[in-house]
Amino acid sequence: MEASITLKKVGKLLNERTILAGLSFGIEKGSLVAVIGDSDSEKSMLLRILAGFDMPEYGSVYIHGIDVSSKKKDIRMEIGYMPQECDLEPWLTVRQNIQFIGALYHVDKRTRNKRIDTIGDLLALHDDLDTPVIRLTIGVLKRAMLLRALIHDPTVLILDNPSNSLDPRSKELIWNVLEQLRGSKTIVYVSKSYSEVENYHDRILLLEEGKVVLDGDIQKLVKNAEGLHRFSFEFENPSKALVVRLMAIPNLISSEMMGNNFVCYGTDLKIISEILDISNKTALTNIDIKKFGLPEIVESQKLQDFEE
Amino acid sequence: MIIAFLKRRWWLTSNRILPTLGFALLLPVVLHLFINFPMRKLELMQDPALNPEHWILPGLLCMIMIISLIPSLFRDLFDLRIHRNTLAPLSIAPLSNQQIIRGFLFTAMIESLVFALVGMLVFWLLMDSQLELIQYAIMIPYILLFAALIGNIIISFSLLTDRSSVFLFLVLTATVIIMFGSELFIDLSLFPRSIGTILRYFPTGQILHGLRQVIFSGEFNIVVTAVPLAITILLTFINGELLKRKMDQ
Repeated sequence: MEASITLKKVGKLLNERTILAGLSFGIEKGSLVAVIGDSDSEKSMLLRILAGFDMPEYGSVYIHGIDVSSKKKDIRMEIGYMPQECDLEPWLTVRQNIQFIGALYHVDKRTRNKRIDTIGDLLALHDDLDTPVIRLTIGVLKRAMLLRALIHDPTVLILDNPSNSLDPRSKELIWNVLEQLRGSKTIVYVSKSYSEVENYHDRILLLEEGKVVLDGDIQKLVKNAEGLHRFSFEFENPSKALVVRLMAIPNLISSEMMGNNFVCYGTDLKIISEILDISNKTALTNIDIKKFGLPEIVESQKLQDFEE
Repeated sequence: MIIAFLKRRWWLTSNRILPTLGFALLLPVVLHLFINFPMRKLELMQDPALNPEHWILPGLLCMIMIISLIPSLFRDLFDLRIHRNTLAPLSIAPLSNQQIIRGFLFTAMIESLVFALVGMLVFWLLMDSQLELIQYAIMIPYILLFAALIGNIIISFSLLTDRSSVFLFLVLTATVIIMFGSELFIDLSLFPRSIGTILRYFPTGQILHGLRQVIFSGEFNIVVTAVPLAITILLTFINGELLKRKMDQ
């Protein structure tokens, strides 16, 4: 598939500290890519570089095969950016904000009005278009910012936490529009919500300390963990004999005692009855069973990195 | 591009039209009461044949321009940059930093010109005797040049500072220096000779000097117009570079 965005050994320094280290990857045209990671993983910096706010200290970024440092004006026409915080002008109305930015992107008035009406309807903004930004709630503002990012019909959309701290309705409206755009526009977004990422992605990039440590879709990432569960049984004063018997249960992928907690991983749910049978005379104080998903993958990756 | 900036400026003004109109009418009245009245009794001009009210009029118009430029440029390039981050979407739009600076500067100049024109009308009504229409017309390009120069200085302060206290200190100090050291209200011959000689080289003062020469003596001095114009163009370029640096691009 044709690459929409290509990064070649992109690095960024901040106060002589490397915050993005030699990132190299490509993003296919029309794909929906979620970038996840801790707050210090520099996800937003990656988005800022892709959107053209910041230039990398070394390496190159290509949008549709064009180096962003060479043809800035052409590249900017291709990118729509929605930041995490509201950056609309407070004393202008939503419509005026969007009209102004649209005019700077050389979108003619008729097309601007048409897009404002069409996308505004999809985002349920019609009642708020002529209200000054200062009087609007964050949910409306985020939807307005998405409309502004789309006003020049960009081929690449860069979104920084598009639905962070939003009401359920605004979240739904934003994702409905993004789902419609999926396939026709390349969408790269950062999110703190694993459930959102699990629902909306073609590909997930896990960023850790400025490096991509996991890359793939959820099926690929959990391929080795299909049906995998994490079991945690908390006992009241477990005996050594009990621990030995627990550790000896067959079909466990990994097991360990953490204080009074027996933690193990496995795909077969019969493990639960086996543990209950073994521990029939020891009081159980807590049981926790989790299906392996994106949060667990991220956690296990962090643990792996820590152990290395 | 300039049309988009002008429309934005019009929207901002029309969204608060009544306070803006009130301010535009009140400002020249206040200046007339507090500056024109007492100045009538002082003999500040070298030429005693000249009507003091006529001599001071360009200074009053320039003062109106300074007062109207400060809030507009402070808001666009300091307040919104620091507190609202609204310059960010502009910085990734397909226009250069020079174009952004020119857009903000030009629209602020037009707005301040409207204030100055309202001021001209108010002074025309309040003054005992009026200048000829052609003299008013000649003032317009000069006060626009003055606005471009002052606007660039305010833009530089807005981009160089990140604290409003520092911005206020710089802009107030500059205003006082320009008010008293650029022949807005006080003829430079009233200063000690050495200070007066230095002040004569101030580009802001040169514009006022050149303007008065044209409207009162009919002499056009190319040097006192070209030097401030060259400095204005240079400052606009420097401000574009400052914006680039501020936006980390």
